[in-house]
Amino acid sequence: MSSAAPLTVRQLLDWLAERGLFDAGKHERAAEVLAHPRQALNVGIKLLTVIGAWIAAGAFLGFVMALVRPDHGTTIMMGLGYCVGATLLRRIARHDFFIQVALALLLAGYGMVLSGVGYSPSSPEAPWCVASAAVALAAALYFVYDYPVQRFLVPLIAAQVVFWELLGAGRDEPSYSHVALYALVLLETLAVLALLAGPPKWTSVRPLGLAMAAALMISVGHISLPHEFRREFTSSYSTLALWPFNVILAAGLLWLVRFAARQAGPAEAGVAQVTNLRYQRGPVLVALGTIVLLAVVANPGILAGLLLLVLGHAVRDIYPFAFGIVLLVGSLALFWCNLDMQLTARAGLLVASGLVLLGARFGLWRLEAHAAWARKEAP
Amino acid sequence: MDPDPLNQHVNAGILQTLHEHRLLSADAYAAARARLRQGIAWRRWVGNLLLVVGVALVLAGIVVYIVANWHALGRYARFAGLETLLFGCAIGAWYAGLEKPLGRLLLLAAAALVGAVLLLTGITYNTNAEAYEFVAAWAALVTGFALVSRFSGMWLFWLTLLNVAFLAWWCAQPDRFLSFKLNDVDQICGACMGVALLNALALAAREIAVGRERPGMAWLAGRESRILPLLAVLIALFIPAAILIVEWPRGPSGDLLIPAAVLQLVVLAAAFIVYRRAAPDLVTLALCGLSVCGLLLFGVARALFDLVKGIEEAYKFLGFGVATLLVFGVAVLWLKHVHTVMTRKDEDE
Repeated sequence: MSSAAPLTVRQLLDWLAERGLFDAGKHERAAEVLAHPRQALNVGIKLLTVIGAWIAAGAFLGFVMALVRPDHGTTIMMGLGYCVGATLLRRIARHDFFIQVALALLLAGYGMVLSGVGYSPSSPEAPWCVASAAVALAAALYFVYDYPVQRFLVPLIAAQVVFWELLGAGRDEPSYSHVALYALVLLETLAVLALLAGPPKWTSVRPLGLAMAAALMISVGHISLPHEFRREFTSSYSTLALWPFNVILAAGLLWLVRFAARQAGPAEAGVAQVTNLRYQRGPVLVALGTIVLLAVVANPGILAGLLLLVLGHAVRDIYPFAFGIVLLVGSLALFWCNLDMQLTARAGLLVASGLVLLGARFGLWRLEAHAAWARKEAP
Repeated sequence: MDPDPLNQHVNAGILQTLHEHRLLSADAYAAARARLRQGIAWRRWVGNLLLVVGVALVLAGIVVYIVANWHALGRYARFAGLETLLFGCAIGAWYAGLEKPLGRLLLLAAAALVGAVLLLTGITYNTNAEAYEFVAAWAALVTGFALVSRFSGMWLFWLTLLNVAFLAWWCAQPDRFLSFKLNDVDQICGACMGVALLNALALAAREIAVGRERPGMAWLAGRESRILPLLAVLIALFIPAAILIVEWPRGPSGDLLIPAAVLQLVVLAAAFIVYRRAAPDLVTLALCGLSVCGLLLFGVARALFDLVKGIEEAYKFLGFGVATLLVFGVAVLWLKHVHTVMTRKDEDE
């Protein structure tokens, strides 16, 4: 696998300009867009807009709930009306104030539709109806919006609604909802990999990919909690088997290893093809062995955290990387706390694991030294 | 930090920003994404990951071993164990180099272990020290670390210790400060004002040190060393102001509520002037704006839901939603205006 220095924006723009994809005269404009005050302004505006919109959405939801509480049909209709109004407003709005109003109306409308659909908690179909409504609404809204904040929030809310409704449905139909949970994590994993590491031409799906990454972090993080914590939310999930999640996430990691090996290209400059392949084979085999071992012994949170961490580095995206760190550290801590061992033995396990990782690093260094020697020897 | 934004390392977020501003066409964006995925430094990344996680696991294992066998260990073994760790971390930091993340991480661990050694001393020799004396001694002992490390994380850790020491000292003498008697509200206000003043002082020192643009103080120029103390100031002063709003119009129940509100006004005014003129920073201004918006909305909510009678509950919610949008909308407008003025000033210069 290659080890080049990270690319700078200037190098990338020059590379694009050489291929006729970027006007070399626009360097100054790019510098202006990426300059510190402009970026700070964007962060500040997004911060104020999103916080204001969420608070206002809560107030609008309270308004409708206080007004038409008993009538769920009216709530759904008003919610859809809010969504349509928000969409139209967002289409014509160019001013930040109206963008904020549109976001508040959209969030409130979304909440109203879901409250209306799930109004009958006694009905066994209610969770499935709410989940379906959340997905259908998110799918429709994703295509009408081209604003990244909405495109991130709407699918994330939908994925969370589906997850929590499935957990709720488990009280009545545990086996069905267990299978549905496996399917949900499978879909989220596939979506994260396809949308963030898929064909580079899919340029409009990054917010959806980030939403799925956040959803995967929350879903798998909750599933990985020990039973005594989960019991607070979901009493029927003490029987939920975790190995299918491990299989799904390990398969995702294996695909990522293949993706990373392909990124390195067929051969590095000046290295004989045979030497290069041999050089790549070692780390890839170690990675495969590690993934299989983790799938057998670890909890799903560790695998999902690793998947997001590696994916974030592979596509140079800070958000999946950050989600991965949070999930990995939390899951490792939980895994360690739940080991059925004496504290002294657990301390020994920590030291031994650390020494294995440091040994692996030493092995990597030796391999690199060997490759450097092979480069010198190559004709 | 390189001032030229084009010299920063490219990532997926930067590409999306350029695409959103129509600087990259769909084809260029796709080509750039493909280029970004080539030449990833996997070996270096995996090596660093293995090193950091490996060292963290070994250190955690040693700490857990000491904790697990605490009762079986004698006095000397306990001190020897902790001090071996402490010196191991300090020597490791020196060996790795304080300019590298690993060296800084080890120095931070060493600073944390100083507290553990102090705690052990207190338990073993029964010093009867108050909690604030213990934390203050800890802060005093790691002052040298904060000075030599040239690392903002270490400086923030030291500042956190000072905050904890102050709060522990304040809580150690309930009902009175020097010769003044304090009620519950005054206790809270006093703690908030103390935390706010402490962090404001640290923030002022940071701004003066960085503002002179000495090369030796560049390590303190990161945004986190500004944002975190500022957040502490804003949150600390928000609490007395919120109490004042809740109690209005009955009149303040504590003598320190009005001084705390005045202090908040002074701090906000100073922050707006400094971060608009002396050290322009729009994110910091947005945070100050957020604090003002929060207070205004708190006032609106109190007025609508508590003071105004004869309006249906539903319309109160509607009014609050509209007020929220207006307050935050004005804040965004103001921020954009500040940006325009700052840009114009830069162009004139």
